[in-house]
Amino acid sequence: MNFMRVLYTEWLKQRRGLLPWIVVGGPLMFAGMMWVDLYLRYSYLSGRHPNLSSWELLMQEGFMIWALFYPIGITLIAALVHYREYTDQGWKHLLALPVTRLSVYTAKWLLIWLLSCSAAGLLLIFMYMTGIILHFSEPFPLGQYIRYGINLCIAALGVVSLQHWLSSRLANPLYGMAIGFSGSMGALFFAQSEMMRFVPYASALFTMTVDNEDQWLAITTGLVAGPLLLIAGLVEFRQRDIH
Amino acid sequence: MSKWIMETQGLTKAYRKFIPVDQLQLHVREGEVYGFLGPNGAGKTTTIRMLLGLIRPSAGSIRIFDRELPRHRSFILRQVGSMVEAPSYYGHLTGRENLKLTCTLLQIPETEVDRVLDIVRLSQAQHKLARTYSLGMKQRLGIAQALLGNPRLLILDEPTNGLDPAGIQEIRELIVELPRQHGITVFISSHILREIERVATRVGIIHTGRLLFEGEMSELQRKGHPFVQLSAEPMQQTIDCLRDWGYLVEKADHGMNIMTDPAEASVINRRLVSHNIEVSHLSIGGRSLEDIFLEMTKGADSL
Amino acid sequence: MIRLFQYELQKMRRTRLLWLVAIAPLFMVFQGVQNFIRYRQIWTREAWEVIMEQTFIFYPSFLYPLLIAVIMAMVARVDHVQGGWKYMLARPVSRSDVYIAKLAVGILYILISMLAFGSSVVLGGLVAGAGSSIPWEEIFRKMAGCFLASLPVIMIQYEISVRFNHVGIPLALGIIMSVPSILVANSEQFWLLDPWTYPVVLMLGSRLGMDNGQAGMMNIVIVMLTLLVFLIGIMGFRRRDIV
Repeated sequence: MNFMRVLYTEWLKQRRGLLPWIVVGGPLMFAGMMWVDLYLRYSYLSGRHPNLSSWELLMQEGFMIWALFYPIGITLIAALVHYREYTDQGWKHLLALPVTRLSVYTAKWLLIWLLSCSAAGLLLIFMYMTGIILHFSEPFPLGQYIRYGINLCIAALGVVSLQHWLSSRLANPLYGMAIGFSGSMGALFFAQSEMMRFVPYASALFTMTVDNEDQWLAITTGLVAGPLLLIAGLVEFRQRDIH
Repeated sequence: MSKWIMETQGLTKAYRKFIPVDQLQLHVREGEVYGFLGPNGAGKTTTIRMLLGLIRPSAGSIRIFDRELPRHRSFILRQVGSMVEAPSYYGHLTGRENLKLTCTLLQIPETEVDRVLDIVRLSQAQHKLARTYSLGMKQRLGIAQALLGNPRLLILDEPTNGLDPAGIQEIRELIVELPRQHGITVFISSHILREIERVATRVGIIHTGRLLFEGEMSELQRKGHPFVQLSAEPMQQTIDCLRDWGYLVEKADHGMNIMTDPAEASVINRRLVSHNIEVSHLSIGGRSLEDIFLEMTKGADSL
Repeated sequence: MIRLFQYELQKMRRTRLLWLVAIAPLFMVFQGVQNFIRYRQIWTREAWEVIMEQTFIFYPSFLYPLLIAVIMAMVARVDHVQGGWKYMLARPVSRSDVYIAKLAVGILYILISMLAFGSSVVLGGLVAGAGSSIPWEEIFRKMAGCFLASLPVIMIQYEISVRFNHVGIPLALGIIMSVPSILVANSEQFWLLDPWTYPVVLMLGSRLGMDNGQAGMMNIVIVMLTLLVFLIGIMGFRRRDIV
């Protein structure tokens, strides 16, 4: 099928590039930091939250910062997936091939999302390893962590659609990145406001699965904003003049 | 005082895995148009980058204006204009702004901008953003940049790349008038032999990094053993006449081939006409420059 | 040299970097001021102290290093695209001068962004009614400290942006290395390893209970690292083949 072929070629394009380093390096760095943090503060933290298991402490300590860096990472991933189009001839050469704009746009979108999910998945794995290295006594709450991972993947949908569209539209990758960074940095702010907490950049803040009643927020925003923005971007992309 | 405006001795660039330029000896005289010929990948661009100080040679020396390159880089480059491969420009600035920028860099007055825009005929489009220029316009902008500051030597790498026939002709006319009207020496590289043949007075042929031939264009052309092609009536009488006059004549499809220097063509014509012979076709035949070139680069020792 | 500096500055016209650099800080300030207003009753401290705290939270750890990365990437990108390096370096200009002039332009933009941040903090505070006792001195001291502490980062980001064609490399580096700076408050020894944490450490110095020994160490590392990267960078730039 045309779409699968496009997706595959997009994936191949990334193979020896920067992307694998980011998708693996980001979560790895983060988990490393968590290790240091818990190593030094464990006793203090468990004192403050006696009802939480070590694993839950781990998630609670890290989720906010991860929620801030995750959209930044997605921004970077989206920019890199469009890298070929920033250099060389831009979209001209890709769209001159016998592939539909639909398949190209959605294939790239899917790649960005899958990579974002991979980053989330790797985060889970690295956090597990961190806990093992720190000799957590309790058994690993697989279900809780998997739900966290799934929440992250869904929360990512909105940002993926946004950044994908921005990266496809703005010729200078730094502009799209600047917007993504600003949005990510505003996440805390957005999250605290009644209206603005539905902005996709803030969604990751609601993904934690420890004593969190607002998970529905992340899920709803992701499932609504994601596809909506994807379709809107697709419509614009199809009728855009390519110079 | 060297008689060469630019020369290289044993110029070499070697990487671990391969050697793009090997022991190159180039000699360029002042006021001429030197054609640097070679197929793609022969090492032309690497050589040019070394001539401009962009790449360090692994061995050998470069002398321009009778000075060594690495040492007197500033002095030399002040009088050299260049365009390497695709023209470089800042797309987000207009054509004029691009040129003004170079003026700032070289500390030359802004009047230069108008002068070069005029020469390359870009005055109309000077206020448009460079990234909106057509390929030909970008090429002309590149040449305009190279001309800023009235350099003594112009180094052009594939200046007619991607141009249509009209564009190619414009550039060709420009290149030819530069030595004549402005006293500028032009060093131009290309893989399009026909174009070089029309503008260059001396030629250097490079292949897989080595110099195969260097000399006058006429010398190269003579390697093609050119002759005069003639169609005339009455044919047999013409052939007899020519043979009487001492020419070697062979019959051919169109008429006959006279194995002599093409310079003799007009003399032959006059003599035949004065003998009431109808000359209907007169041209120069011989192996094309391409054939000569291909033969040379196939390693055949036709030198 | 001045001429070259002007030259580099002119190159940045129409890049809209100035807008970016002036507007991005506003985000942070806006959030901080909003927080101040929202929880007005709760604050027990001086109004301006709160304003300072709220706006400066994420500045040195998040916004500032990212801005540095984006600015340096932009300054270098102008030449990476469309063969700008050969445009300049096949001319009678000293390569060292070019390296320094571009660096100066980057630093100028960084200073402008700091100015934008500082003035918007003041403006925001005034608008929110924090009173007229604006802590000029403290703001200036904090910003100056931030700048000096980030010199190694500035130098590293610049060199990486110039050396590599790929715009994603300096950005990915900047992002990943910034991650630990959020949690730096919790680790007493490791922060020295990551120059990206220095501005934060400086900000929170008193609260960290950092002793003079460590502060002195940091200063030494800052000076040495900056000089080292500068020397390596400029020498590499002079000798490099421009292909």
